[in-house]
Amino acid sequence: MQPSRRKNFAAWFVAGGILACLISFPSPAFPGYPEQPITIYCGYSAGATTDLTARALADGAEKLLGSPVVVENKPGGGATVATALVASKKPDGYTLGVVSTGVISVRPHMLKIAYDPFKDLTLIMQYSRYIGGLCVLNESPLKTIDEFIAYAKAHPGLSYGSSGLYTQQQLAVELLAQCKGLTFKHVPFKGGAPANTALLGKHTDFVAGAGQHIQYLKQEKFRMLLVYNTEKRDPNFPNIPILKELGCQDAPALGYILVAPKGLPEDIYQKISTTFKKVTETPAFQTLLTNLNLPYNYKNREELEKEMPGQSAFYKSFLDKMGAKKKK
Amino acid sequence: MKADRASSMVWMAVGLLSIYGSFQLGLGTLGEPGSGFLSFLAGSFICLMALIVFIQSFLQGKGFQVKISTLWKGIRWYRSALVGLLLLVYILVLEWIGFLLTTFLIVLAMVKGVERLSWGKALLISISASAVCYLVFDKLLKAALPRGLLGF
Amino acid sequence: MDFFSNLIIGLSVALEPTNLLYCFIGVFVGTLVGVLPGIGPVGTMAILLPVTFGLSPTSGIIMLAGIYYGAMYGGSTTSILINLPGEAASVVTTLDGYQMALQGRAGPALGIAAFGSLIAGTLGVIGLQAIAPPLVSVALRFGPPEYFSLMILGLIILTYLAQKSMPKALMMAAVGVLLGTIGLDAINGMPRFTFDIPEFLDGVGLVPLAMGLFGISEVLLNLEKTISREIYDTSLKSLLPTLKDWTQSIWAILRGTVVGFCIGALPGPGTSVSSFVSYALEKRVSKHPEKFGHGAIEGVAGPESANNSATAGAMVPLLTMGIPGSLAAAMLLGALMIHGITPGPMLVKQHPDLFWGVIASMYIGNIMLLIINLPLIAIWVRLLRVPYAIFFPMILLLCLIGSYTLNNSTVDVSLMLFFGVVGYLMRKFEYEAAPLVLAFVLTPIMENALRQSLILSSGSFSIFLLRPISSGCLILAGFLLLTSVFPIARKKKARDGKRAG
Repeated sequence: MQPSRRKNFAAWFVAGGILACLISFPSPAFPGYPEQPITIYCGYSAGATTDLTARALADGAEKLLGSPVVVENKPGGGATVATALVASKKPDGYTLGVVSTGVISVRPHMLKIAYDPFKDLTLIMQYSRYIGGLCVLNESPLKTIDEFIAYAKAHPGLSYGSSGLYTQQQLAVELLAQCKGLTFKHVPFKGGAPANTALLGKHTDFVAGAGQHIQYLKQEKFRMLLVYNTEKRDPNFPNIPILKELGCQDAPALGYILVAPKGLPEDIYQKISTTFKKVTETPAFQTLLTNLNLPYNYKNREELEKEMPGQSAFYKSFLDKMGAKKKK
Repeated sequence: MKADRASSMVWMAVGLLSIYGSFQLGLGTLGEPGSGFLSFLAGSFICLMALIVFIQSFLQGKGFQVKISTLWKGIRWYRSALVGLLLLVYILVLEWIGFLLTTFLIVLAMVKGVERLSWGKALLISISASAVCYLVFDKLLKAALPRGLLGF
Repeated sequence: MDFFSNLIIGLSVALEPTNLLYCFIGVFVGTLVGVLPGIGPVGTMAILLPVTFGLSPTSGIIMLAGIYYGAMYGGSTTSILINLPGEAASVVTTLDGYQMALQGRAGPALGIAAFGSLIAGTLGVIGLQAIAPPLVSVALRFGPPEYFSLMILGLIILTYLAQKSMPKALMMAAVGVLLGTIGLDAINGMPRFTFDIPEFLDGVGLVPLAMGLFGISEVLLNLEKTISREIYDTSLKSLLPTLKDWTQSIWAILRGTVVGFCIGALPGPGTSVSSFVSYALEKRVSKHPEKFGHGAIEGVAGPESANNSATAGAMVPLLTMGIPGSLAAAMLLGALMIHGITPGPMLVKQHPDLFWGVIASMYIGNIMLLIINLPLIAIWVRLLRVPYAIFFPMILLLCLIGSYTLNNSTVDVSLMLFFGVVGYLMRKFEYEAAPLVLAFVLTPIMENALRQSLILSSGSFSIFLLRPISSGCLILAGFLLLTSVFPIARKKKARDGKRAG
């Protein structure tokens, strides 16, 4: 190309670029919140169950608010990295977070965290909770939890996989063990999927299922003997006893929560709270929860704030007993 | 100093530091390895290999024998140093003044300062680069790039 | 035959205009994402997930799957052109691919990568269709002890990547192991070497590490010299692999396909491990191993085929049992579940059109990818003619954006810069980066497997030798170690003879 033609082309290109940038800046749809895109930081990586629910929330909220709602994954430290990030942002309603209640009640006892779990966050709502169940292979001769306990007493040292160290699933199994005088070998895996796979391959004796085990129940590969982390029987599995019925203590279930930085103005809080509550009530979201095998468990700010201190104290004492040392 | 001799000493230090760190974490036993078990093995192995390289540097004909100064002789090392520095500045400034502006400024600095192109060409390149990247990454792929104090 | 009747069912679904459209969108976005370093298929699949909410499950999965295997086509592009691996699977491609580009043979390198990807991808889908169930039952027999032994085997295979000094290469592997331990200990929850930086709790990111060690360091090194840019012959003939290239590569492609598919079917290791096993395999069976690292086309053909068949392999446990073997597979699993579909043996019975439709779409997608990628080669090669003065800021920009968008964090970018400087120094002092990166990838799997196995065996090491698959891997590893020590001794003598003389 000749120099002058090149210059012309370049000039148009640059002008076009600048124009495109200007056009693409969002213009306010209507005055008042929200005027900008909202960012939801998800404490888990893309593709994780929590992330899928966060994206569904974002999608629904975007439709109701008319402003883009974007999910950004900030995994790490059991969602504490995302929590710390949210806590550090301005409480203008444009930064939210989807994390688990574990960041308030469990993780602070184990790690050094950059936020105060009770002071630095505005809790908006809980919309679901983690479910769990003790499962053996379908071909196992053990058909009920009582048979299982008897077998475990006769054969100490059964191995089980869990989705991670000090997860509520592992804690539940440990509570069962303490309560009934059993000893197990705990094999921690990174996440629920490898733990389930290990059971499928018969490398472990049972699994402390963390949610994904449900699909193996449907495939008739697993048999669930006990449900834990819950106050009452699971409506989908009314025949399966829960840990509390056995006379044992249970680890309170951790929930999926939506949070914001502390100091959120009341009117913005109300708008966010009602909007997201509506989203969780839509049939699309309910279907999503059902398909992901998650129960719909809505709790508002007041209920959450009441529960958190009790949960936190429970986990602290239990973790201390188990010898978990907090790294300074 | 011969290049291999110096580098092996650096790696030896790395190995020793990791051994030290591993002891802090706890080695555990062979049947129940602790947190520091693997890093201890790795660190020890590094020290061993570094020792081999170090010894090799004394034997003529083996190993990488040039002097350190030769590695940087006669080449324009200051250009890479400058670019490295500019990259550091980019990181420090990015979330403060936002993606568009930072990219524009740093690319401008690189093209003008390091390559010494004319102002016209330099501006053209930096503007189009920032604009294109912004469009593709932020708008098309929705990968949220940082907005600075000025809101963009 | 059952195979073909299922294929016909599948094609009738996949060839519906909507599905064709979404297949195309998927592979196109996948290629784009694969070319751009840093942004990976998983993130893109996540972003496009809400789009699938309004689609039929079949169309949605077809699109997401397209992104997944499409990304494997584009990943080699930056590795070959600018020594910048976009993800772990492309690291080994830099070894010979970039050398080929420096020799003016970027076109054939890109071409053989594309064709190899097509062949491997297609054969992989055939494998998925034909032998998925028996393959899964084999894959399930891999428990922690087997994974540990496999990783040990992998570490030994690493020695085949060493091009120059063996002690230095082994040292770099150990450094990789060391870097791999950074993060939260999975077995007892303690943070290791994290220096109180919360972003390190999940370990050092692979992408900043690889981009820094390879891409940034390359730019820093190039800036020092005056690059003589050869005028590349851009006629069509020189853009494509020659007949000689084909004869050299075809076996590499086939071997890579098999290797990649088998490793891909194992939950865990995935595409990165398959690509470097393929590279080591090619170097081992080659009649001229010394050419590797200097532009041997088998070194591109094998790994690129392996990582494509690995994506097909990863679909095996996913579709047959709902086991996600990798993050991208987990994404697909999530998408399936959102639409109310439970993968597993029931999937074929309850949703045959989805199952066979997705498989058929993979055949179509691979062909689409070839059609998209081939003309792109001409564009990429032309890009190389851009003067380096303008080119290098682009490379750096890509790296900066790529590393930032991983976790929206400047920590990753700083990490990349740190490793860029380290990589620059390493290259100056003749230390190889590839063993480091690959050991880094293997270490977490290996360490967790070791400790999980020891828990299962209550501290006894015999568990590794009593189980057939595990002991088999260890014996093979021992054998490879011995045979690699002796030829190296011979090579060293020859090299010293040359230097002294």
